[in-house]
Amino acid sequence: MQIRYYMMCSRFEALIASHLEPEAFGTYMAVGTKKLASGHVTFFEIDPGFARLTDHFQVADIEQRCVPHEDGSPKRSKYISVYRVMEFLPLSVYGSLYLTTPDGRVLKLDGEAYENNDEQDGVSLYQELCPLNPLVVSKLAPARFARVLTDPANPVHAPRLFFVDLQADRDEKGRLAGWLPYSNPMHIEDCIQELERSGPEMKATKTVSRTPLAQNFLRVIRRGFFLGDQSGVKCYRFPTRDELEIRHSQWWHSASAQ
Amino acid sequence: MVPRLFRVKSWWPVVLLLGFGAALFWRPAGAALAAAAQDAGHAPGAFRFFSPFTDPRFSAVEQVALLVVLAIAVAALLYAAALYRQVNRAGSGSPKMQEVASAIREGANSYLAAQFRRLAPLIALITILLALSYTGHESAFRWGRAGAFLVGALFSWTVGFVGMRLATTGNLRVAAAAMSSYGEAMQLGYRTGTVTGMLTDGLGLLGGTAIFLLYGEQAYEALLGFGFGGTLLALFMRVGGGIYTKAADVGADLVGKIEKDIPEDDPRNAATIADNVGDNVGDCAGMAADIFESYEVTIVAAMILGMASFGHKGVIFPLLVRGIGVVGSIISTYTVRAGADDTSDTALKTVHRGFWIGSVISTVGFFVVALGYLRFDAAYLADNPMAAAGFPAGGPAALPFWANLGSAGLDLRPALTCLIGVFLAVALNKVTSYYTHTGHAPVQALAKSCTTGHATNIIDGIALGYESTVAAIVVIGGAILLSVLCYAGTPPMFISYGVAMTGIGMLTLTGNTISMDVFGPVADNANGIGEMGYDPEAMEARRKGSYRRARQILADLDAVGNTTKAETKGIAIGSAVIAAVSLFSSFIAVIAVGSEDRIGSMTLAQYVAEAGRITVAEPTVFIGLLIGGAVPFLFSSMLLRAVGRAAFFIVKECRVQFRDMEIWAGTKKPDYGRVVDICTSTAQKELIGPGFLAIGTPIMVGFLLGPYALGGFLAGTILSGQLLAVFMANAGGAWDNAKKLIEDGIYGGKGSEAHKAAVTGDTVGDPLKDTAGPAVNPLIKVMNMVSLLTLGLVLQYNLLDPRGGAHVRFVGILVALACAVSVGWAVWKSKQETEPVS
Repeated sequence: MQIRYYMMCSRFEALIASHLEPEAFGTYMAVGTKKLASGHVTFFEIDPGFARLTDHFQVADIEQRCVPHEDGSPKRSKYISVYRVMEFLPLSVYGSLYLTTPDGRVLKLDGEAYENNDEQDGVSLYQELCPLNPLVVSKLAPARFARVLTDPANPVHAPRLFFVDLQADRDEKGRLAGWLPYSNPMHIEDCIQELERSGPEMKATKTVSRTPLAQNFLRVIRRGFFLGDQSGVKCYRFPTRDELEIRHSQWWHSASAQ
Repeated sequence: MVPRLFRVKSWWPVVLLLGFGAALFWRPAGAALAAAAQDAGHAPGAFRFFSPFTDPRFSAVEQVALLVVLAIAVAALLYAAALYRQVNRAGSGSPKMQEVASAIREGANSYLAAQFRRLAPLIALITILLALSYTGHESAFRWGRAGAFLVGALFSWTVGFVGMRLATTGNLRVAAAAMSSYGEAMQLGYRTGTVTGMLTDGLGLLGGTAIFLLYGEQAYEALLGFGFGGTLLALFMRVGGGIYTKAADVGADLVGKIEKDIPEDDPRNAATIADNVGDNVGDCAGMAADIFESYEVTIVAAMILGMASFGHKGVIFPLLVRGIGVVGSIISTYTVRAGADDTSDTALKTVHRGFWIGSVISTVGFFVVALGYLRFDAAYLADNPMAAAGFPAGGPAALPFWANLGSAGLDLRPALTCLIGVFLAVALNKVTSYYTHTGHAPVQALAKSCTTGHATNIIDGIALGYESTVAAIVVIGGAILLSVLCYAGTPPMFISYGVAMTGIGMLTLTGNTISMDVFGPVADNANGIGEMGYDPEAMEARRKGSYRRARQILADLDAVGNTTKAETKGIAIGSAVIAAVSLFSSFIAVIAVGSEDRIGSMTLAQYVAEAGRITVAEPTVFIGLLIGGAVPFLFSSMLLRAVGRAAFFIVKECRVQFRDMEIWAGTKKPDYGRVVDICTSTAQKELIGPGFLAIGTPIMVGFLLGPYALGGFLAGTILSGQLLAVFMANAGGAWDNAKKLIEDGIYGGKGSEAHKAAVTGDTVGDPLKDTAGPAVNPLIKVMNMVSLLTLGLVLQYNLLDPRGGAHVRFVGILVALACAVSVGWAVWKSKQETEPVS
């Protein structure tokens, strides 16, 4: 059986080997087989050639460790590493991104190099997903945001950053749109206004919350997911509402149910 | 393992009932009563069937009019059949959609079949008891009231069964039609409801008219039997349907949405089909049977009071009004159409316009009939001497201008009180709409209260419900007051006739009301079929944008259905109160003269004397009032507990099925039938306790404390039942719509903290508005009917002051004891805990 590698970003950071196809792996990680678990899972498929690029992970004997069960069924998950995984996997090995709803529906997003040509002015709302997960507002567009937060010259930086761009539509009075489910909308509005009022010499990013979003963020994604470091940025563009409703109706129905 | 609940055989309550029956029909006492009846001058053999055709007091015009009413009843049934064919011939969508609809239909059929199997022996038993319990001498009356009870029960069941069966056919047609046109989908949904509405109209009118044609002015017994049959079945349909629908809903949500985070109507959830079936058995079969019994009871009350006050004109006029109402419903429901590109707003306007058209047709119609028919000349008053008391100022000519338009002999008061009823229906719709619709301040404020948490939402919802009861009481009290003013200065029996005519007017447009109500579950189910059965990619490949458009149409229709369904609940509750108030006079009349068939011989002095004894200054009456006021609370508590118990088994079963990973992966269909079976058997099982409470309590109070205490009991029941029913219906509806308002995109929408608080409110409100609240209406009427039917026996055998002599007191003790044990058993049963979750 072919061994595949997955880097899970949420619920927690891990590199996992498995005989399962990505969709089956996502369903398994979301709902399990016997434990009746349920919850969001976000993971990348990783190019098996990653072992040639880094010696951080012990995968030489993976063929002996990741073997099918005695009854011939595939090995569902063999953990290779947990904690500080993303920083040791170079940008080039990240394949498709898979978003799994709590009940195990999986959506595949293909990545592409981010060209910055749809950058928008104004403040964005980003949920960082890996390695840490604060909710921030920023005047920086995704590519610059990724570069600044992974810049070694910056005293507070991460080697690599994975985040999602969230909707923060506001009315003419600066109030967040009513359909946005954030738990403390007035605080988000204050943070956005503070950034908008600040001059170019002032800070470009402000933390809104240090804890991850408690509620489902899948239905409020704006442009998509971004993975970046000093070498570049990959964008995993989120489908339009029409595409979601027609081509991925089951996934979308599940993702927007909560 | 089969839950223990299903294995328990509850034979001993039936044995108790039989014992009670045996005690009631102790022959020596019956013989004494028959002798008493003969003493009163009711000689055997005086009765003749079809007396309206042989009695010279009935004119040829009246005879023809009665036949026309009968023909209108048949026309309503034919119209229903034509619409049925129309709906059935419409397109039925893809095989996948048909598969989903078929599962819902099978579940609904199995529920009604199981209910029929359980209730049939009980109905047969009560039919026999009613025949045996007749204390008079005329066998035509004995079998008349037993047979009419059976017919009333069968009609009520037919309305529920056929209505629900068609709803489970119509939902598929609506989902299929939504793929091409808004107007077609809307029309099919509404007409599906109209079939049930016209069936209710047709069978209700057919039953009442046929009984009158058979029994003429002596139809009292048969009419009571007919009303009781419909009411008892409606109680069981309401209780069973209410428990089923909420148990399935709560069970599906607890496991699906909360434990598993899966969307509503997800085909992997084993309770999904049961949830959709529940919409039909609760909102369709339950509500249709409920309104049918209101329709029956109001006509029964009006005919009985009409007979005792104005003579046969007082009986025939309500039948004519009902006939006109049916014609109005046929025309106005046919005008309800929507264009291909309409929206929910325009569709709602069309439905409301239909109601207004029907109201205008009916009002004009019954005023025209009143102008021609309600003329009381000296010959009529000589033939019907009791009618003279209805003209206190010296005969019909002395009526004020507004009552006779200056035409001597004309009496428009019955038509005016009908008009008050039409306005009452509209006003109750508005009150319900104001307190439960998302477009008005109360629900908007309730949604806002969700932003500060779960508790504030619950507190505000309770406050809203309490306030709405006052509004409903003001409207109903105002309508009764206007009816009383119309008959100011006349004896109470005439005033009660006016109130009964208000009930007739209120339910004139029953066809439209039920169309609006049934449209709700049909649209809801169609949305579910769209969710589970549409193939988005195939639809888009055929025509771009068609999938989104179809889903939008179904969502819009669902929204319209929710509104129309909520609006009709106010009418159902209001009609129960009006019918109960008007039956109260019959109750006093029977106390005054000793048995039902002698109401016609009652004098005003007798009536006033007996009515005056039902006062809270009398301790037994006050005790009756207290017990009566408490019964709706106990009844509601039993139903709410029953929902919890039934939901427990469903949750357990769903959890077991979710352990199957193939079901999780969507590669294997869950065993929907298993959950449907659990809902069906649990709902049937839970019927028994509330049924005993409804039948046993008034009998117990009557036999233990006497007829006046029973009067106090009824007054207490009417008041607290009305308040509780309105509170539960409106608070539950408001919580539901506050949640919908938030889901539409305010205060954070789905997933927000406000939404979580709104979901809590909705979960609390669901069994209130769909199980306990609606079941209180038939409870009020069943207790009224039971009281009326047993009153003759209560007068003879009650413990405190038996007219049959002190030596028969033990019968009262025995019956009261049997009832007390039955009610005690029912309460004990309702408190039984279920097994812990494994």
